[in-house]
Amino acid sequence: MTLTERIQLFFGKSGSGSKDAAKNRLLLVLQDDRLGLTGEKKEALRKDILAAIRKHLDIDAEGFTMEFMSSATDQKEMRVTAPVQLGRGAVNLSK
Amino acid sequence: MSGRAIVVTSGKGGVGKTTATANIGLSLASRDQKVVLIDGDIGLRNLDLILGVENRVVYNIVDVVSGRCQPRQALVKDKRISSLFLIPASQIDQKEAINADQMRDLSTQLKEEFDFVLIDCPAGIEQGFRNAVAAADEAIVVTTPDVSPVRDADRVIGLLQSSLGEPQLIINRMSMAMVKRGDMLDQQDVLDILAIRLLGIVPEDEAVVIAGNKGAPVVLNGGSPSGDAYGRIARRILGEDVPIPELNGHSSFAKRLGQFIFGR
Ligand SMILES: Nc1ncnc2c1ncn2[C@@H]1O[C@H](COP(=O)(O)OP(=O)(O)O)[C@@H](O)[C@H]1O
Ligand SMILES: [Mg+2]
Repeated sequence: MTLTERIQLFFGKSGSGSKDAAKNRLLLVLQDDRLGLTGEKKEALRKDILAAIRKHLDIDAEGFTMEFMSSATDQKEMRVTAPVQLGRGAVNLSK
Repeated sequence: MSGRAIVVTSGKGGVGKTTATANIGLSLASRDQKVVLIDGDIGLRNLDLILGVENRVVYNIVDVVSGRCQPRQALVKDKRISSLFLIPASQIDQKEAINADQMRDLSTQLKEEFDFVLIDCPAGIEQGFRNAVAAADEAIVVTTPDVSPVRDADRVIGLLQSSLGEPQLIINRMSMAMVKRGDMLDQQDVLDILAIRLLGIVPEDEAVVIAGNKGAPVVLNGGSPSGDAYGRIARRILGEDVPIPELNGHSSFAKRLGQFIFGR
């Protein structure tokens, strides 16, 4: 072990801490695996949700994405987030 | 008598199933259990080599199920521990040379005579996997703390749950140094993800490679960290309450001070 490595270990300093990335990515991908949520299904869901929102709100269709997050504490819980970009019309209205 | 048939499986290849089967088998046999190992990896025969009995193989599992020989004739007896036997795989046949019913019948027959029937499962989730699982009453899933093996383990656990119930987990090739650096999933991480019972943790250990070279699995030579880990796993299988040493990333101040001063 080099001195720098020893000093890093002493201060509890880690390497790149890549295991957090591994864990988060695994939780995400396994959520899909377990639900049988294929890319195709996700895309269909995304389109449906987008259409549903657009019935009521003027939002930007281009960058509309959805993220499916499993809860770290409850295997039965899933969080779906979809940040929406307000469309030009909506922004102009509010001015 | 009716023994326990346990399949050792993983989904992903190369994570340590064959090594685990050999070591757990030897370890159980050295604890007065009568054990037979079945190499279920037809076409890719390896368990005989890892056990170091490759020169004494005459018949194989395909010969047995196709009636070319009696099960008894195919048993290769271990010379070091007399209550351990192996039924080798065939190196030339296809996985389809055997079906699930034949495997189940063979296992039922063997359980009459043996305390343990350990089945070394091939990688994948196809015919070979289904055959190996059909022969078993319980399952052990082996994974390493890497993303692809853990993902594949989750798939296999899902498949097993419908037939054999909840399997137990072995996390193999754990590197303490990497866990400490935060560059390897630790046992809690893997358990958070897979949510099954932990049977044991086997450290990354050069002794495994040397053992493979010699055909003398690590449990045969005391003192290696991996051999000790397999010994504890065998005792847990026998129902002993053996605590699992914590291999997580949190090291104490005193330990870190020691590392700083002594460099290890
Ligand atoms: N604990 C360990 N430490 C170091 N090397 C290991 C360990 N366990 C397995 N290996 C190595 O990994 C390789 C694959 O092991 P093997 O048991 O053949 O896996 P599988 O049967 O799942 O394909 C072998 O070369 C073996 O020596
Ligand atoms: Mg193998």
